[in-house]
Amino acid sequence: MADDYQFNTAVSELMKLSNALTDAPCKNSAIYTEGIQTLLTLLAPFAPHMAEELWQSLGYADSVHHQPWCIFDPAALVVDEISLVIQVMGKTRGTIQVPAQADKQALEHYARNSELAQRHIADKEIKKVIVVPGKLVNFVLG
Amino acid sequence: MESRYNPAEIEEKWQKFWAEQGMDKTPEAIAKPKFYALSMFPYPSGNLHMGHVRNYTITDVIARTRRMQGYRVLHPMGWDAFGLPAENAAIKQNSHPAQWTYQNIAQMKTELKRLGLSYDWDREVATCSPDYYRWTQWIFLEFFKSGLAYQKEAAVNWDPVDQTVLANEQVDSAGRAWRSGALVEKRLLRQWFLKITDYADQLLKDLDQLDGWPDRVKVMQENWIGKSTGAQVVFTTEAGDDLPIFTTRPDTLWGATFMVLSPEHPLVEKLTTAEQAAAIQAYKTATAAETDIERTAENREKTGVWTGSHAINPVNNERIPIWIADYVLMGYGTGAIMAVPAHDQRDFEFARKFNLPIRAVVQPADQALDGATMTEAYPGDGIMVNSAALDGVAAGKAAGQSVERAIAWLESQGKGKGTSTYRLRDWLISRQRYWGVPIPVVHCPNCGIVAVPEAELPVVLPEEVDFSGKGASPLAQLESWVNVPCPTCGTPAQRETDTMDTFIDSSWYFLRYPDARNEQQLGNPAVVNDWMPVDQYVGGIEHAILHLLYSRFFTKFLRDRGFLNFDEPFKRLLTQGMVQGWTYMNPNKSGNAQWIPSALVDPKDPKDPETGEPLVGSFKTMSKSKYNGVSPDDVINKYGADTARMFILFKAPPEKDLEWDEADVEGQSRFLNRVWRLVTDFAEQGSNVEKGAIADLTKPEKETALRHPQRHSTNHRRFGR
Repeated sequence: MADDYQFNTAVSELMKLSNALTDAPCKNSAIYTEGIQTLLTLLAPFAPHMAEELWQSLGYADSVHHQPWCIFDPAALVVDEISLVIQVMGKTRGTIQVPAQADKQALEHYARNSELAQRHIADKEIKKVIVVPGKLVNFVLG
Repeated sequence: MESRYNPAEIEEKWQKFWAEQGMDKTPEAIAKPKFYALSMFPYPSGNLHMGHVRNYTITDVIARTRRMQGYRVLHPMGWDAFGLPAENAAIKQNSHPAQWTYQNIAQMKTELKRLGLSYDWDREVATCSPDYYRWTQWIFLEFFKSGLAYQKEAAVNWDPVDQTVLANEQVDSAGRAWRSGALVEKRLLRQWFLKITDYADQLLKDLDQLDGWPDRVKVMQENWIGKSTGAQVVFTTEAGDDLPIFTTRPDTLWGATFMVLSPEHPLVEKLTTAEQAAAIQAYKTATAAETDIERTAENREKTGVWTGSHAINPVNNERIPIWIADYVLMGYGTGAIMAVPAHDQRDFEFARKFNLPIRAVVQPADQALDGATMTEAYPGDGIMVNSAALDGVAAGKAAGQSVERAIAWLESQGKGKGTSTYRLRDWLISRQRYWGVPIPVVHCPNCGIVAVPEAELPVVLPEEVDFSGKGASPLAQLESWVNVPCPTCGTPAQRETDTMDTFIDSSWYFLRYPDARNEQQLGNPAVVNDWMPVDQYVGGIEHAILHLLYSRFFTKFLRDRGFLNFDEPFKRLLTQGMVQGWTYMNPNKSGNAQWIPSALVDPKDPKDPETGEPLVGSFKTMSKSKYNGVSPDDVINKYGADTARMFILFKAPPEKDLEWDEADVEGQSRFLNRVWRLVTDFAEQGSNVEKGAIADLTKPEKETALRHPQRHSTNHRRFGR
């Protein structure tokens, strides 16, 4: 909300976060704790009394209104790995995990050396390799 | 803690606790970046309404978020406490305006505190308090010393109901007083003015700096300032008096076939011949009863009277008759115009009606204009004709065209000069009322107008006053206060008895908050310059011109006096939308009787409880007269302040109008109840958190968990116990 005050959107995002926490399976995890803390921190400017009461109920010494505002971390949204579909003659044989930043050449390299490809190609001749970056590698055999 | 969400209990508890801890006090630590969040301060009318609640909630969320983002935040509140309603209430209830005002302030402050607004109350200001208006008077004297506060006899807007003069900005487009709704009359009175016109060009140009303002507001200010460029040309009367005019089309000077003066023009009397005297006098009397709006309405039947005299057109020495007509206003331009009937529709209608000559000086390509046969004025493009030096030049305002050429010719001949005029007038600031800031000057028979010395400020508003509510200021009737020795020569003299327009009080209040308790100065300039400008200002669009223009003017003036080091007071402006309530109307009734209170209506079958007629329902801006308001106190009692705040923020984007809908208020209440359960459930099993085996987490989860190891302890001392 640096320049544009879309409070209505902010409140609906708080509702989404609250719903996601309600539905979360990992209620005993550290990540869930962070989720609850984040919800209360973000709620604090909007519903200051309730946020303070609930924050206190978690046992914190300082006021919720003294907590630092969440800083958007773009790195947290970067996907490290993607699932690459391996096809032989157009037929999906399975997926392998590869680095998200891998280029076309690298993707073909990972695919060729994968156990999946080697099993389904065996000693047949590879006529052509079709690479769709971020999605799949298809081996056309002779 | 309770297992059920009980807003009444926790809200009061935390409000008390935050106040005790001084959580909302303004930090002095200079190391953090500053953020000045400001709501337009209210007039203490009695009770808080939903419009206030919306305005202040928006600013509060911004202030709270900025604090959490690491800013030192100034978030103050105060009272725009002088003005007519207090005086009128006092007259009606036979009490004192101060008593009425301070009661209302106390009431509204209690209501504000229930909303959980994070104000630094140590900086509260009330414009009616002497420690505030001392500095309002000081600023007035700065204007006076600079020659920018002056007195002159003026045709002023007179409100016959409130018996006072009004500024142009306080008269609506229908010619009615902004507060009483009375049709405004014109009267000649000696009045105080601030010379805002000296700043017209800056106020216009600096709108470009205001990236954080809504375009709509900037356009309104631009139009209000109303710059037009053209030339000033001096006609002369046959008696030798100068008759300057301003025209945006100096190229059509050769087509001027008569002149028209405003009936109030000072030369009219001298120009009127004996034969015309009776007709001129009758016309002047008739005009005095009309409003400016009526006088300048389009499609109005043209009226006027010949003075009997002539003027000389400086470009061709032609002798042309001088008329008076109501459509020329004394307050705009010079109060005199040259009439070019061939190319101006109003002049054309006037010429046809009174059989005055019409001469075309612009010939269009597709037709030949003849003054004798034209049926309407031709305002379009073409080629200049009948215009001596300009003949053959393309008519128009573009570079090299007739307007530019005409100005160059006038200047070379010494007959006129290029100039700009503004629609903006000097600001009339004196009021013949009691409940305002006394203008701190003394009228001395020897020295003239003398400023009250700075050391004697404030000139305190006397409390023992009789309220007739009519005519001259009640102060004028208080001889013990009026009669004082002249501060310069000691001769018996009289205090000024007019008070200032309350818009002056609000034109600088944002400068007081940064150092609100300073008794030596308006504020320490270093402190004021540190906090100013306001980073985020929030208030109603109804202040787009008045308050926001005056505040910009004061800021620029105080900068020029060496007190401030910035050009503009408000970096960003948010104009919040209105709050609307569901409103029942009986289409067969009119006036205020058409609005039927919702409490008397069955929503499933809306009928007029008196007549049984069917009603029409719609959303209308909440107001007392429409019985469609929702009381903030009722909402807080039923749902709590947090729900009210959430609803207001959720229901509509801040700039848009907000429809008050009980079902949506309940929706927000349910949401907060869900959050309550979610977190209380979690708190109860909180001791298990540490068992949440780190080993089970995925890689990014582990990273996150490890980044905040201290947050997983449940052994912290409980805050607030």
